[in-house]
Parts: sequence; C-alpha cells; structure tokens
Amino acid sequence: MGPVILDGFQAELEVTARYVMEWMLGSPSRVKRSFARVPWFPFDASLAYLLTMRNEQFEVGLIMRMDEAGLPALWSSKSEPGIRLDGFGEIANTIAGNFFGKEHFISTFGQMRGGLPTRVKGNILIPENPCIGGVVEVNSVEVFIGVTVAQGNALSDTARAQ
Amino acid sequence: MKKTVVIVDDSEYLAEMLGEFFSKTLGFEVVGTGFNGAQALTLYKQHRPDLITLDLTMPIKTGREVITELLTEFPQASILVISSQIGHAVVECLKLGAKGYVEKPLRLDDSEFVRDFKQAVEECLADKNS
Repeated sequence: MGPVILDGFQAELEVTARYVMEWMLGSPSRVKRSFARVPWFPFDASLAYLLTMRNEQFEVGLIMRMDEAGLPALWSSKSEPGIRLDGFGEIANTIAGNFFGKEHFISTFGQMRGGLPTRVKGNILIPENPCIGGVVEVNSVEVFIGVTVAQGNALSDTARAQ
Repeated sequence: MKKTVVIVDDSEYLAEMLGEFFSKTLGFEVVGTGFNGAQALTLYKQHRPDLITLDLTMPIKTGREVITELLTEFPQASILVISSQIGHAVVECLKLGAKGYVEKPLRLDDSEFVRDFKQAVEECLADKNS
C-alpha cells in the first residue's frame, strides 16, 4: 500500500484551483509557487483544511493551507469570521469536486465518493505521502493547494492534526 | 403567487448566497434553509416547496440519500442538485431522479451562467407541472 505519484496532473490542478478561487473570491489570481511534485506541506501556515474522498482502491486528499490572519483580506466582502472560515472550506470543497471529477482523473483512479472535510488550526500531517501542489496568491494572500493519492485507506490511517 | 424553494447546503456562506439569488434574481420565496441531509427532509415535509436545492456532500445524510428518500415519499418533488462534483456525479443524480443539476462554483456574475441556472430551474418546474 505505497504512495501514488501524481505526475501529469499539475496543470489541471493549477487551472482548477485558480478558476474556482477567482470565481468565488471575485479577484484575479497569480501563481506564487509553481504546481509541481512536492513533499507534504512545504508551506508553513496556521490554518489547514483537508478533504478526503475514496473508492475501493484509492483514497485521495485535497489540502488547502494559509495563514489565518489573511482571511479578512482574502474575503474582504465578508465581515463575519465564521462565514470567512466557512467560505475557505467551500473553496477547498469546490476545487476537490471539480478536480476529482475530471475525466483524466477518473480514468486514472476511478470515481471517488465524498467524505466530509476536516479543518484544523495548525498542520495536518500525512507522513511519507508525496503530493502535487503549488501556491496561489489572491488579494495578496498566499494559499497552498495540494493533492495526494494513496492506495487503500492510507491517508485516513495516518492523517493527524498537529 | 411566488414559487417557493427550500435551499440545503452545508456551507452557510453558499446557502446565504443562493437564498439571495433565488429571492432577488429569480423571484422565489425562500421558505427554508438547511445545512444537512436530515434538515432537507424535514424542511421539505414541512413546507412542500415547489423546488428544493440540494448539495451532495453533506453531514448526516448525503444528497444522494436525500434524493432517494425524498422521491420515495414524494415522487413529484422537484430537486435541483447544486454541487461541485462534476462528470459522473451529474448522471448519477439524474438517474436517481433529480430534475436538474448546477455545477459549482456559482458564477453569479456571469450572465451566461445565470441564464443557464434560470433555465435549469424552469426545466425543473416545467417537469413538475407536466
């Protein structure tokens, strides 16, 4: 039950992430750090959101991370802290739904069923599982977006909040 | 008389956005807002709206479970799925009996998207009336 390498999906993840963020936040985006194969969590941040989905053979995870202090700037149109946090999670859900539903992804890994997301203040560690990811900047706020795939239930078995 | 809608989405942010869109742009009366699958069933039974919108990934009961349960009890229910899950999920929900499907993100500043959204709503209601 080893890790799965996601080479070939970097561009699709970048396009999906920027498309979703630009529509939901109403602002242009730019890539601050190119989407590439990276070790887990190369980007230090205080707020993390993990959404896992699975089928019989694979479990996939989408992680979004950012500095929580940037939420007011990211969601300048929303004044309530709770709504901003909720909106941050909804961005992650939407990127996950769009990306994991793409034909290229489904033809490689199969159709995934949704699990519910986990949001933590701090890190979520999933040791020894490589991912693809990059950093997108919107409204001067940097957000890391990454995706990983593992065989079986390896993500749920090893993921933990720090 | 205004058409009525129940909106169900586990995101408070999106539920609020959809409520505004349905009331201000589409002229509906939003008679209930829920944040999980169980509330979807309760609100439908309570209000019997002309339309119910459902997210797919929700706590307690998923959107797919709600579609099945709702249509078992209310075969004429008009269900519009609004979800970020694309591709196969669309076909699956329509096979379960949903009348329409709108993909997230909600691009409510995009006139073409809004036109398509309105058309999806009209088709759901037309199907109910036919």
